[in-house]
Amino acid sequence: MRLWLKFARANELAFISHLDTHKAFCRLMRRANIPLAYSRGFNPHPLLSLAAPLPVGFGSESDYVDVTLAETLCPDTLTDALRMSSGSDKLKLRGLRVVPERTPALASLIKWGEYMVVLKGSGGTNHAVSMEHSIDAAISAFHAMPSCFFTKTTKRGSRVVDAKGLVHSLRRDGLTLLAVLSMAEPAVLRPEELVNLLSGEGQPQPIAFVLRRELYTAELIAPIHEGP
Amino acid sequence: MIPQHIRDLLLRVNKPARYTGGEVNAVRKHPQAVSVRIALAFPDTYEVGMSHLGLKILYQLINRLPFAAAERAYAPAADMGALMAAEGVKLYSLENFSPLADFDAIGFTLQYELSYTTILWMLDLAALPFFSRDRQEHHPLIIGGGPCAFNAEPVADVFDALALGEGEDVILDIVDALRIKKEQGLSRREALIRLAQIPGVYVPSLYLASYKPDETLASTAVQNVHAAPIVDKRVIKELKPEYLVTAPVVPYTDVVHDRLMLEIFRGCARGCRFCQAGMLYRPVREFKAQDLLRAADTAVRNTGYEELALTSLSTMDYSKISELLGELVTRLNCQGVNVSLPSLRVDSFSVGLAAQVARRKKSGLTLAPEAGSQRLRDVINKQVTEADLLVAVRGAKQMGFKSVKLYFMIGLPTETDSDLQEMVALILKTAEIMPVTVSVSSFVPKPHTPFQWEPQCSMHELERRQQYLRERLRRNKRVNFNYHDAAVSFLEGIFSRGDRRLSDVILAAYRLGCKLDGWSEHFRYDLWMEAFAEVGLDPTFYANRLRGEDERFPWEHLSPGVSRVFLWQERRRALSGEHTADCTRAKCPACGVCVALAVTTYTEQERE
Repeated sequence: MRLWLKFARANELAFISHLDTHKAFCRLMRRANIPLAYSRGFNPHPLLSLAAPLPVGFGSESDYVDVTLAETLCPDTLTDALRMSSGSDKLKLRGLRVVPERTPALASLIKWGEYMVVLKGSGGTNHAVSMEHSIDAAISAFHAMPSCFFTKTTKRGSRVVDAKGLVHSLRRDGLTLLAVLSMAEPAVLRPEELVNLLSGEGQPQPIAFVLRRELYTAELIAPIHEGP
Repeated sequence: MIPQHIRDLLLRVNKPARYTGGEVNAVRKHPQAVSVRIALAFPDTYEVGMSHLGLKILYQLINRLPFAAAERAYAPAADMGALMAAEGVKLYSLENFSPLADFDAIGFTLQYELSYTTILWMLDLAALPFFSRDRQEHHPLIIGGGPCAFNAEPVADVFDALALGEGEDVILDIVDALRIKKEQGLSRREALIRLAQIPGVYVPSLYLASYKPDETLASTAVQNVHAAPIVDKRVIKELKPEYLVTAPVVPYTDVVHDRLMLEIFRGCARGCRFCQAGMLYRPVREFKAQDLLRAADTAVRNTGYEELALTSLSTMDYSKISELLGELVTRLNCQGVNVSLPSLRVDSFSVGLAAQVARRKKSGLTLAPEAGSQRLRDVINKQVTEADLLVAVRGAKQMGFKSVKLYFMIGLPTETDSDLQEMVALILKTAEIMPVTVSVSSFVPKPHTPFQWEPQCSMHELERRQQYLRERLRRNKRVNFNYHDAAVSFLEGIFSRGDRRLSDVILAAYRLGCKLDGWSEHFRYDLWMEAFAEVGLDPTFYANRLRGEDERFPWEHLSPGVSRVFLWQERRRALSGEHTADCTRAKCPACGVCVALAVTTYTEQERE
């Protein structure tokens, strides 16, 4: 039985690595007494994978897990089990969807990520208002540009990419940016990179906190639309 | 929620998940909802401390009390520590992010002599005075426990109180004393006198150490009528199922032992003469098999762990090990949980069980012959022959194991080059069967053992012996030879049998920059020697001196129940190569513990 699960993680879990997140989900499944299917071979591992890695330090309301179970169980039973087991307050189930066995891996379907980027305010109300104005100006300028090239550095090296195609939407709410950014080909745009681009030549505004709110497919559809 | 001032540090350090708490099974009680709060502190980093069973037991027991809370604290890694000091962030507990200074008591476990500077560092990061005499009424009491408490004299000035032996009962007595202190508004001094009256609790400030002109100890004299002249350890007479840890905190990040630990028995009566744990934790008492099976099921359900390890001083000696393992494997493997064993007894029975357990991944197994020659194995009372080892290794090969790891010690009393020669020969014979990883540690004489009188082999001689072995083994491609830093063993040797005057050396070393000494990248032998010179003490006096039969030891007033007469007799038997039997299998060698502490040894087999 193949499932997609959606979780929100507690604030304290913002600092765990991708690999450790994977282990945390495997252990959550075992606590919930949900029988995972294992790969065949000399060193079997559970058929559980995460849809998209989350950078260390980010909060998330969109930890998607793609998992195959050893037996077929009723979705309501699974939901109850995942909501009752210990640790379910830290990894909170937001949705569950049964998918056909042959569905492509969820990780391969994810194209966009929606982020909430909370910027650090400093000083009083006047300062905040002037910050908001400068952020608005930067967003307008970004939208008006025909292209916005920047050098992207990854572990594999650096290359020049155009950020314009990597931002699906971008707006401001108070001192928070709400952005839908590319998570797949042609390039990934990280929220810090967006903030750097918006600040142009100036000092980038320090980030207090980033929350990943949702993941989307190329058609901008969330893998699980609503709670069960 | 993680407070913003802590969150601000976390993106600037390695592995920040060590500092956030919030793990599965962490118990978070509101500070105002309880009357006693204890911080359980491990003087090493999170990944080391989270692998320690003892604190898990205390955490579970204290948090079961409605009026008390236990929270955890670990030493930060060097990067986080530097940042905390620079930004003025005080050392905090992982449950409530409370500064350690806000607790009623801080309980440190003393697992290792080289953690002493880290204790000072943690106190420093918590903005607490180092020494008991400098702490004021509002400061928490600093309490210690664990194996090194049996000679806590080098840190006697640091600790307000120390608990000897098994902690399950004594921790509840201590929590109760702390509750009474608070309710009745007792002063620090009054509270310490109350603590000193709890059996097993040692309050160092109530004792005065004096020395002879030759620098050896004259006496450790009691200064208060309420304190016992000799503090006997606490021992659990009947192991109850509630001492099994069934809901340990599950870390979100890699720790050294990231698996369930199931303790199957206490004590070991094999009687290896170098082994302090074997003397400190007598007698042997086994948990009931049915309690163990039930606890294993509960613990897997509570944690979701994928591996369960049986832990004890000599796991294979559990009287019903075969039945227990068979049943555990049957129950757990179908849930995708593997069962694992620590180092094995050197015999084919043990190897057979290991093979049965490691169904899928038979990568390697670990055996500890400890000494290379039969003569020297007789000296240390390690009842293993060359034939036992070779039969076990051949058996392992047949069962599909790919390599074997062998543990040896050098610098044991009476060791000569001919013993080393035999060690080389034994390793080469083993390597003909399968690839060998050899790990050679240096013997450290420990208090309360038959070798407590013995000089530790000098650092330079240990290094010579390491090179002797290395030269003879390095060309063999099937042997991977490792050895421990002799300077580290020397420091262990100094502090394991040290006295109170060493407190000043520890402080001097800390001030010079020593901390996290157990980590090779932080260990600074030069600074330690500078500290000794500064204080004016000779380290070789502690490590490398042969003690007289009647010398008073700094740990004489701290008793695990094993008699000094027995230890001396064992020393004599060691030097003449005589075997002493294990009392769970043969007659009682009269070590004295059962009589002194009114306790008896029992096994699961006898119960039936």
